[in-house]
Amino acid sequence: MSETMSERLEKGITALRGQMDSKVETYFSSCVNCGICAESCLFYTETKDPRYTPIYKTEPLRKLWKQEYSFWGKFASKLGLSKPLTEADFADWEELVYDGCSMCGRCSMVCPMGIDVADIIARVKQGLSAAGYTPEGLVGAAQRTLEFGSPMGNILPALQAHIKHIEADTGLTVPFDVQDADYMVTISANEVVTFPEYIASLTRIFHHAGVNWTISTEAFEATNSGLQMGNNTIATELVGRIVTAAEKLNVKYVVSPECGHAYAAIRWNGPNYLGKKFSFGVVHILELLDELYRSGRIKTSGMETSRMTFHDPCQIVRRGGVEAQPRELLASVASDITEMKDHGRMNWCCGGGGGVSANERAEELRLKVFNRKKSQLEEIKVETMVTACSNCRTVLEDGLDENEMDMEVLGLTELIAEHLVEDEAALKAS
Amino acid sequence: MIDSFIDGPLWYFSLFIFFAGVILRLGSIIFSKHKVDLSVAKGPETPGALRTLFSRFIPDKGLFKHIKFQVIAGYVFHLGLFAVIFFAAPHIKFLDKHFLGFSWPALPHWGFLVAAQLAFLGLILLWLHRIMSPVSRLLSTKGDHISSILTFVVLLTGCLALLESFSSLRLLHRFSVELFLIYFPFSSLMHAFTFVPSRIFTGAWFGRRGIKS
Amino acid sequence: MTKLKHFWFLGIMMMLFSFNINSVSATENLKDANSGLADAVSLQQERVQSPGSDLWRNVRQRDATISGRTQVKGLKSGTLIDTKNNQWRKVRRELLLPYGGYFLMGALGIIALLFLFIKRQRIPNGKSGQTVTRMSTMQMITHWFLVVIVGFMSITGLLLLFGRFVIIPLMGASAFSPIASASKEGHNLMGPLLVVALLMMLIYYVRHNFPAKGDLKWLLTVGGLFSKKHLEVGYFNAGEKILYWATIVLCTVLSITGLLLLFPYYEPTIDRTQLALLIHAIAALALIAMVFGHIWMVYTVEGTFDAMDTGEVDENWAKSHHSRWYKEKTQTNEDDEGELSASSEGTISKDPSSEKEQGAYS
Ligand code: HEM
Ligand code: SF4
Ligand code: SF4
Repeated sequence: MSETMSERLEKGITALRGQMDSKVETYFSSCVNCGICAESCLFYTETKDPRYTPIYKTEPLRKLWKQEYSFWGKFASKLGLSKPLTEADFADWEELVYDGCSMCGRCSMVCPMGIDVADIIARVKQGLSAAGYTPEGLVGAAQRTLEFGSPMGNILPALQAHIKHIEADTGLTVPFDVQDADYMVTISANEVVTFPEYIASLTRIFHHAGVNWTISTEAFEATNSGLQMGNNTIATELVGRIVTAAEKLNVKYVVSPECGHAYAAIRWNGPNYLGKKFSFGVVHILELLDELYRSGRIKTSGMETSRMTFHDPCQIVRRGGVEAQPRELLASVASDITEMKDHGRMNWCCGGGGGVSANERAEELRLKVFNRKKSQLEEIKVETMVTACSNCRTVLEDGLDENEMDMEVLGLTELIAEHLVEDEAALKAS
Repeated sequence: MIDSFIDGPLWYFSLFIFFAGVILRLGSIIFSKHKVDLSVAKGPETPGALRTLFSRFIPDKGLFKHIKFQVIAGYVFHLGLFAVIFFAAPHIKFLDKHFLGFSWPALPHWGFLVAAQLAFLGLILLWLHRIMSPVSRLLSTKGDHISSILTFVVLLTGCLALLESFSSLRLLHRFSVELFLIYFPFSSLMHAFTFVPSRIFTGAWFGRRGIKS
Repeated sequence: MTKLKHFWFLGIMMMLFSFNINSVSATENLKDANSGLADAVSLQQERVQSPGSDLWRNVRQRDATISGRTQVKGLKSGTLIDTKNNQWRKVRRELLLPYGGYFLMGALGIIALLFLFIKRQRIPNGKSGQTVTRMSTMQMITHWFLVVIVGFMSITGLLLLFGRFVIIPLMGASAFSPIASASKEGHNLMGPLLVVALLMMLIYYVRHNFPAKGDLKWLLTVGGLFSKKHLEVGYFNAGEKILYWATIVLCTVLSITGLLLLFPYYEPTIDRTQLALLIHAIAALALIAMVFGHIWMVYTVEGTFDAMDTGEVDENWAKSHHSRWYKEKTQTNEDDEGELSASSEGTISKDPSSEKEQGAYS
């Protein structure tokens, strides 16, 4: 890009200014720099580098707030005593914020002042990305999604090919672009490319439960690189595609894939991006499955007997409030479940959230902070880890591999599908 | 001369700055831009806000063993300070006479001493932790140190004047209190008030997402 | 304040009273130019009413113990004034103050000479830039907590002991009385915190301070001062261990005698209170002199201060001053990579307290 340095800086600062509101004012007024948040963040606990302290990652915004919104800061900058934000700050914090934070939100659970640190970090990303300080991996993913519909390029052909297989295997049809369906299902590219069983499982479960569902060929990809970058324009565009498709098909609900940040993007941020309330509801796939299970529409048989644990995806559980559902679902098909010491809304992140896993530069750090998960797992000695996010799953498998740990990683939805009652009977019959 | 200044104009000035400053700061929190959340809430905000307001007094169990020092020293300091400020006989008398017109039972002299000792203990340890622990050393600003030291000086001058027989010592205490009051609204000492809206905002946010925080 | 816990403080208070009376009358007839000046300099003119001053003056004239009868029950309530206090006053003024003063001045003088004439000992081969973790956060907090408490107690204590010889000539009597009062209140209030500092000192340091191989040799050669032979030293050298144990002993003595003085009603005989006071003062002077020496030692060996500043010391410093510790540390570090540097613990020890500590900071 031909922008000069100072133009970029100016853009970044303007974007940061746009983030100021009553929350930022309150949070920055409250922080006493006690450092407690550091102990909650896996990037700090695994590296012991104080720069990874959560609130330190918000420094660009905090600096600006101090200089332009606080009494002494205004005073000092009038006298020319304080150093204004520089490109160097942006460059340094790009690494801290994008490589050294998975947006897991654990810090927001522990601050004694009640500061939602992860929320402020997300705001810092807005400034960094406006100034063009975003890791290549994420920029690339966003561009591919804008151009081809998914961070992995155009995967519609792959999806369709794959669905042909599913239809052949199961004898069921996967309904594309059905008008007035109850549920419009979205997926993440990763699920098409790496974990295609997920779509097969959905097909079987929905058939089993008699759900009236569809997939839109125009908008099936739910991941959102815009959210991970902190670029609201891109994020809005991507959510907008799903909303348009859902409105066009006039569905009652959009189903978010397991993928955690996709859920955050459409469920929580979406209406705010677009500035309107949706005409349809948004549910997470686990919420839907749990509802079906509770109302008796999903019947399972048989129990997994291996020693299992559940890894809570941060955006679904801690930041999304889907905490009880996965546990109920898992308990319906597995008999030997051991929780990790910190679990549920205090679970430790896999280390790859918030765009970290899409950012090749961060790989070494990501594998280092995986030590947190590793020691959590070593404490409980399980054979199988179940999770409900394809990104977590990739990152976990990678980490286990790297540490030569012998453990199976399963997706919860697939596990449910394997235990469907009628399905087995139907399969036998065919 | 200086004594009538400290007891008179400076005292009223510092009180004015303190109250005006605190109201201004809280006002700027209440009246600055609030973003309206258009997403459909999963749960009500108010119970979440109230819950977080109180739940954050108790650290998470898993975390506690890593932050024992700050938590214990923190409680020792804050409880000691609270007792000293509101339950010292001279303070109650002072508040009664000049502001409130009513009083409440004071700590006995020995109780006051113990409270002050706890406050000192906690404050010194917290401040040492601030400068010795790599994390808070990196985070801390001049303002944080000024806050700690001012608080220390206020406590100290108060305790040095315990005999209540020397007006110079009383004035020194009064003077340090005035500096403290003037500094308060523009520093992180404001956390004594802002922790409430801060926890409420976060709690409401978690509440609407159906998360216990 | 009616309970005057320290009897010698009674003596000081009486002196204060008379100074106050002096200065009040001086301002009244403005004859005493000196004290008028002092008043201008001093913070504030003090007026303390002393309705019984005539009575007290009378009582003070006598040397014999004056006993009377009273309804008040108590060991000493019948004694109006005890001449032992006067004897103590003599001891204090004629022995403790002058000799204590010489001792302290002598110690300061020696340290000053050391500062002036002994060259700082540079780190051999200069700073390497690589550091090793020597002190944990808790160890540093403990050390500086002790410094804050000992520092505060020393300043207030010295003011109570020698203040009148320094403050009165410099600032006038009316400035000294509030300073003395403040010192006394502060000294009494902060004193008990020394017990906490002492406990922390034991918890976080004791395991590095047991005698070990090589300590005797270190002592015999005074840390290799006179020989060029390389000494193998562990975490602390024998000198540091002596400093540690001397600090522990002196602080314990100070705490015990101090508490006795704080609660004199548990110690009914005045002789023992006076003895406690004497020991308290001597131990304090010894500790203060030792701290001067300690500060010089830290100053004169380049790189040592870092241990208590960041907790990280230069590798070359570690190699030359604590070679055995350095070896042990770097070896174990290789065994379980990084784990230890993260726990920022000086040596590797298997006792539970180190685990606790690592728990708190890892
Ligand atoms: C400004 C003053 C002081 C400075 C700069 C200072 C600095 C230091 C340093 C750097 C060490 C560590 C030496 C090493 O790593 O081998 C140390 C140890 C020590 N300091 Fe200080 N110190 C000061 C005052 C005091 C005071 C007032 C006391 C208390 C009485 C004290 C008691 C000790 C003790 C007992 C140790 C040794 C611990 C042990 O051997 O286990 N220091 N000091
Ligand atoms: S825990 Fe909260 S108050 Fe403490 S440093 Fe972190 S953000 Fe600030
Ligand atoms: S959101 Fe998670 S990764 Fe980011 S700073 Fe907070 S605790 Fe660390």
